[in-house]
Amino acid sequence: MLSASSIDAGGDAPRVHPVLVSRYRTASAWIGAGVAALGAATLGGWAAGFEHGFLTSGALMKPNAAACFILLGVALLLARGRNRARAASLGLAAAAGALAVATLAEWLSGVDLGIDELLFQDDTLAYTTVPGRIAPNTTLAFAFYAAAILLQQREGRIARWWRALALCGLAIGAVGAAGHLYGVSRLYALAQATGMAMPAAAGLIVLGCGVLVARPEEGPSALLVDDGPGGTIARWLLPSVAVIPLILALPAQVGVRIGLLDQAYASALVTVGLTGVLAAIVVIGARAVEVRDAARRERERENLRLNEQLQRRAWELLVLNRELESFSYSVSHDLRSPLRSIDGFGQALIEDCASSLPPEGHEHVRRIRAATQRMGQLIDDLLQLSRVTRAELHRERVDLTAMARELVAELQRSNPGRVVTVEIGEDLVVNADPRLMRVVIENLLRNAWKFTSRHPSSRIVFGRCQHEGEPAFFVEDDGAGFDMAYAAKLFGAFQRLHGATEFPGTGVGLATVQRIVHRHGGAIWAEGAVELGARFTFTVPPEPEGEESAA
Amino acid sequence: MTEKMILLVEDNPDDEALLLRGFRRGKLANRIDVARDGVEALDYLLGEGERPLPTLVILDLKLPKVDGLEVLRRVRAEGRTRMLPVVILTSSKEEQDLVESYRLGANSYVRKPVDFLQFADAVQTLGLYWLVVNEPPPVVRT
Repeated sequence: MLSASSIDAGGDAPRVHPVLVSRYRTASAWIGAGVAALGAATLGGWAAGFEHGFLTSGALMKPNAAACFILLGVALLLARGRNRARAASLGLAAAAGALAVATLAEWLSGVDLGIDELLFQDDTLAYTTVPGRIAPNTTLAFAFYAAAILLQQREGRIARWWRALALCGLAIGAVGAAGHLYGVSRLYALAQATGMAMPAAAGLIVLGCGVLVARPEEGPSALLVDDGPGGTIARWLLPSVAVIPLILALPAQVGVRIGLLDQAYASALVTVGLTGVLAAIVVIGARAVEVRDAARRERERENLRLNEQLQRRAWELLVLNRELESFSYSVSHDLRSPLRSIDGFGQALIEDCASSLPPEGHEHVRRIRAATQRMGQLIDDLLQLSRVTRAELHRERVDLTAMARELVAELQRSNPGRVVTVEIGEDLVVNADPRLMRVVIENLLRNAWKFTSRHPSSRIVFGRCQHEGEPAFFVEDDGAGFDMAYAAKLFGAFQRLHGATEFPGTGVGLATVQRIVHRHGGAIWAEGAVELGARFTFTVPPEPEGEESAA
Repeated sequence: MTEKMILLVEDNPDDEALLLRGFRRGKLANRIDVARDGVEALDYLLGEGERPLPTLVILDLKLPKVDGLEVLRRVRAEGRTRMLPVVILTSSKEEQDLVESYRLGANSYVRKPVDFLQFADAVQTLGLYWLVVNEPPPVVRT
């Protein structure tokens, strides 16, 4: 059988790479821990009094911004957890959101709520005219991230906006970072002398990425975990496009600052470099996709070939089966005619030549006729076995209880002398072919009836049981039973565990029963012990969906 | 009304002999004509000369040349033999044979038992019913 996944390879459903998903989730948690550490380090810097002269003045973001990073970072870290961790994550994100909204309100209304210097006194006035207050753009980004993390935990149409919110925050951070890199203060400072610190800009970018990949299977990051060629391209190009311009522009900008290059020369260099590197990346990415696609096409060809082979085999089997069936059909019929002649003329011999036939002659003819009748029975049983294989399955609701009661009544009518207690379970219903099920029940009940015949009184039970969680049916008797060592032989055609003189039979019945059960997709097995009885258990699973009823 | 007679369509001489034996045991002395394949049967029933029709046709299914079902189909297609009582007497108990026979208008379907005593019983009952008990359709003039 071809595996389902290899067949699906040609389908159009999005295929998510599970390993990548879990990697991105882990990355998101690490990012959360990282930005929280950034916030903590910043607060440490404030506590140590570095706010004035660590590297350059204003290299530290405001304490409240650091607090927001800690809150949102830990929220992101805990978002993967369950129950209490998740509740804590929501609480932290809500706290950061409240802080950001309050700060925004301060900016908009001009009212000082007294929250800016809760943690540390700010006398640096770096990037802000209002001591300790987070820059408005940074604040807005925090508000977006807080809302995004809160919405990520929910379902529904509004919740889907988390992606847009996270992307907006990311854009704010990126603009701020670009401003710092190129020394364009308007990009990071909206109000006069009020701006985003460089670490804050970097932190916002990293946090934005963390929020986006926290749920990698949806939103813009879904493409990154895609198993197809689109995912391959995205994984190659997105990081390259994000990082390479920075790597190229940064040294050029440094060159401009120290007077080594003029701006136009630097721009030209960056443009040429970008073009070359991006072209190389596109080529490499395209080749990676090409390699994957070639492998996929090869798989498809292989699948197609296997499919064809399978279909040919199936067809050959079908033809072979048909031939075999028509062979057994005509053989079974043609075998009966000579039997009729043997039996008929044997009887004629007795009737017409009775006087010239000695007593042992009569006995010989009796044996001949008994043998022909046994052979007739054999042929009938074989016919039924072959019919069971050929017949189409027509499944419907079958009341096995009613069927068994009817059959037992028939048995009791034809053997009025027998003392047999028969217990038949209530509501034994199955979805199966009624005529074939009748053959099963009749064979099992007749067997039970037959193999209890040497006991003065006996008990037969037909009921329902459980086998490995699936419903099963059983027919149990306390008759002659069998040696478990021979259990495997029970279901073979012509296999008998008892002599014909002991219990008559052809040995085809259980083979027929097994074939019917198998055709319904079920299983049958026997348990027993000599002189203690036998128990036959079988299952009839419901019809698998989409399966054709014909064999 | 002429004598009631039977047309037996049977290719196996043993079966023919056993059937005649069965009739004798049942003291049925009617005349029995035998056709040994489908073509003979069709000649007998639908051929030139308008031979008087039998009261009953006993038809085997597995026959040389033209099989029993085809004989039945042609007999039912002809106005003169449309209502002629036809009993299928065969080895087969296959559902498709049963369905086809009745669909084509067989009046009865009997399976030949292996046991001669049962076989004899069956043909006696058959003969008795169709020749004695049953009221045959009026002769159709064409």
